[in-house]
Amino acid sequence: MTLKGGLGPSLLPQALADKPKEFLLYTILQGRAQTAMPPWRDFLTKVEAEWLLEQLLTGIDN
Amino acid sequence: MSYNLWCFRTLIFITLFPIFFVPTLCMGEPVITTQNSNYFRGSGDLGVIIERASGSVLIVETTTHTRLARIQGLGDLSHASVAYSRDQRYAYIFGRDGGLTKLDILRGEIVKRVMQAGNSVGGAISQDGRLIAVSNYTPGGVKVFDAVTLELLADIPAEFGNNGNRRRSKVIGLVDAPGQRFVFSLFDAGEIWVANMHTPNSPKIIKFKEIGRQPYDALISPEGRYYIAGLFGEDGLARLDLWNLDVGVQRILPNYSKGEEKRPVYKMPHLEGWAMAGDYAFVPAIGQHAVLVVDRRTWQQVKVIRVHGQPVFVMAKPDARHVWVNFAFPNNDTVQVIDVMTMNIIKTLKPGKAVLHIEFTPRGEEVWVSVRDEDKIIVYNAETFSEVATLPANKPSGIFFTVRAHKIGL
Repeated sequence: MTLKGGLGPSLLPQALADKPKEFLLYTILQGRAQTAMPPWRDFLTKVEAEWLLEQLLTGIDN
Repeated sequence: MSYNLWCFRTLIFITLFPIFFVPTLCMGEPVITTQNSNYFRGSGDLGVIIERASGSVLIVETTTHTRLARIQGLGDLSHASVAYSRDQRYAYIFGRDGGLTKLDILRGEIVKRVMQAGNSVGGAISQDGRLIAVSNYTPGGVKVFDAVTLELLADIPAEFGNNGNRRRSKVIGLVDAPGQRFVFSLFDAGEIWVANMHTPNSPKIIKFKEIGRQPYDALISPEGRYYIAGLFGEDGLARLDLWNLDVGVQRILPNYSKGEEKRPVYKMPHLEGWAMAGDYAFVPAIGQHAVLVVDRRTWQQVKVIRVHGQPVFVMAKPDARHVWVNFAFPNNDTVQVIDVMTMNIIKTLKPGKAVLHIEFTPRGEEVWVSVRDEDKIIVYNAETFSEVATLPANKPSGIFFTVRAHKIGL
């Protein structure tokens, strides 16, 4: 996966760097209305979402 | 199938290379110089399967359920699709990273590969087979290439907005249309554009604005008359009658989720395989566990079929007798079959974890289903629903048979 974004925005580290972690975590778990981002709260715990966010912020090597 | 794949690769070179290469060079005079002319074959029963994680594709043959070759080095194929040349020899593979690859499926070789954009999501071949169009997210627009050389012929930036705020939109739902046209939608702009390509380096573009919020995918009806875009940002679909452009874009199914709980969407439905079966069209309802049935004459909804999850592909069997449906996460281990006559579900199959795509053989006696997380393709008998064969594949997603070469919009 390129993580450059599809109908949603890029998930590359440089695209996320200036956004607060709390905001990103909230987006993962609660989704964002009026966009293509669904909430993942039914499938991920907060700890799992934090782990995922760390991976995205660090950069996932293909 | 116990061979290693490199054996297939070797096999295709030993058996196919001399036989197909030589006659092609000697145009007009098929001089067969090889030891065994029985290998001189057509490609109507071949296909390509995308292996999304490894940037490779499998070339397969549907008559005996065989993998012929694995071709590697195609870049990021996480949402890849394929169009075929009308001679059914070349597959044009549209990669997610903007890569456009022309693959000779008889020789099992990449003929040409260009990186044409940074972020891409699909393509189409023109009515006359001479042009390849690719729709891009970044930079947003459509590029048109010569189908033989992959030379860039036209660049159509998807610009929208006022003078003070010009932006480029992501482009989705690109299809070919009769009259040597390409039709596509602008996700961010909410527009549909029709590009007449009779003069390839100077496309004539007609723009339809305010067609609805966030068109996310589109299709063209099998005869090439109606272009229909699904809307993510609001209810309904936007329909353009290509026989009657003056009428403009009209909204159909405007209130289909009225009174329904709108669920989160974990995967956008695909409209490409939208089932036009007899008098009815079968449409995935976005955000609902439902397939909508629409009367094709009045474009009114006649039934809501409750299904196992949110539909992704809603595919009609070539004879239009049945419609096969797969589903978005977390219900993506299942396929259901709808009987077109009664509009009821007649079969529920569990192919396995992450069913991504469904493709029928040309006349529909069998159907191939990709099961990504179990690294396999299952072939079903489309009449009895029994499993006919299983083929290993590495994280398979899209399955594309050469029969698409002669279908408008595919």
